[in-house]
Amino acid sequence: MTAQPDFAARSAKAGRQAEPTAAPAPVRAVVAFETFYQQELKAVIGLAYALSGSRSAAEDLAQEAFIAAHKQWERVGRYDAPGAWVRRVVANLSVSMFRRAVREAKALARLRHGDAVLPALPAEDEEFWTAVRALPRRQAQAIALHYLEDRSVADIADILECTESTVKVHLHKGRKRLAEVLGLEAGEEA
Amino acid sequence: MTTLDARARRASMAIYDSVATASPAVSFPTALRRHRIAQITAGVLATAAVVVLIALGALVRTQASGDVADSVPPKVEEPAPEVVPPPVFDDTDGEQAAPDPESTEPTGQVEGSTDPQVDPGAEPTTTTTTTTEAPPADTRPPILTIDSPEDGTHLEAAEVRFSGTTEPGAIVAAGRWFADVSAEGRWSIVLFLTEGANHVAFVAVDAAGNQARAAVTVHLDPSPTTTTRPPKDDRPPAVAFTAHNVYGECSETPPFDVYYGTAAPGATITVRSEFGFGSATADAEGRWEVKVFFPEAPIGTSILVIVRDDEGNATRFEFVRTG
Repeated sequence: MTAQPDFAARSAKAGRQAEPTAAPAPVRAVVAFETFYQQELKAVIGLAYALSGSRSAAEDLAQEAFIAAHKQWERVGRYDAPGAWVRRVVANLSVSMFRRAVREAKALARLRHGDAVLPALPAEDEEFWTAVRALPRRQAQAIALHYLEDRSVADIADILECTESTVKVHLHKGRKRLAEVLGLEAGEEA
Repeated sequence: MTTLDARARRASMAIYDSVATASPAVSFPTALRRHRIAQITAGVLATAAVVVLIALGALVRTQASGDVADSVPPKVEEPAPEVVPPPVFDDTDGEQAAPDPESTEPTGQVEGSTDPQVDPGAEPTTTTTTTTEAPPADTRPPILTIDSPEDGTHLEAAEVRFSGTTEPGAIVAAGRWFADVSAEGRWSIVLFLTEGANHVAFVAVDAAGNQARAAVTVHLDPSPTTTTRPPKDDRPPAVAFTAHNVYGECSETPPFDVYYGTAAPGATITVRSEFGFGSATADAEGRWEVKVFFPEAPIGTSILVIVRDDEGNATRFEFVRTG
């Protein structure tokens, strides 16, 4: 019989009382890198998955972005939104064909040792994200942040380091193109 | 016809579902360790490639000079490129450091294995003189010992910490679970045993990719008075993330909705939308509830509301201001 099991999960969470608020709190606590990592990891993996389309490389892309943040945490940790910084890195990594291929090769090499990949998406959803990835790079990034993370135009502008007007143009063109490709009504505007 | 936004929301939900249902991502220390090992491995492979190219080039030159004998003037020897030793990365800041000259012979219960394709002692088959020498490739398996528990030990608690020694910089794993390895090469990992004999196998992989294996068989004895469940500890009980909303629409001014559910005790729950925000912390039983106002929500338009815990689990709702 082989030892089965479950490796002890070690997560300690800070206790805070419920505090319903009507608007985002402007105060940001300075967090330890590990806490930041735990809070943001899955969302960043999701963004990497959407933009890279690779089930095996998504986690590696996210980890690469976090490693970059870790190396510069003295600086990045002081930003108002370090999560935006990591998303900018992962968005750029994910749409880079060469780096994505390298990451995927590394991830697949590790899969032989038993790591898991993300479950596949339903065909209809995969078709949607494939269409997103076929958009020009900036449009794809803006669309992914808008839909996947429900980011505002201001947030997206902050993450992509461009003006809000530019984001609106990217979203408008991206949505128009997606509607054409997928045969959908454009629906509400961003 | 389906709108683009509706399709996009479904597709986004599918991404979240996929990430949420996947196995837990590796911890950051493990990710960092893998990253450094990958860098070191890339350096080793690059060095090996340079050595092979030099050897091939020398072989070709030797054969060519033998074929043409004295018919052509001697070719001017190009300086051989310098072979750079594989980089070793410092544990603290990722900067390159000097290579560690120490290497350790395997001891104890190690069953070592090396890559049979690597022959560090092979000399280039050429008469051409060169000043470049390839650094000896590390083909020795890392040390791997299991200090605790000893082989054949009978235990009463299912939760057991295995510990031992390996080569500094190596990773140690039991199946898919990675052990914590200190800078000095001390490793440990907590595993849960099943009742009866448990054959627990470990593998250590050093920076050069050499592997060593070790295993122990320990026995978990059934307790006559207690169950074999692991003893209680201070960790909060696992509570699955759930989220619900009360209204879905509201005609009050300002409009609001109440979201509630369960999550890991102490988890921070955030409710986000373009028009309102709220947060709560799950109590000791894992219950949470938060009332969120949407003061700027447009009347008659469905808005997206995402409820998320700090593990990345998320549920999406729609909210409509009706008056």
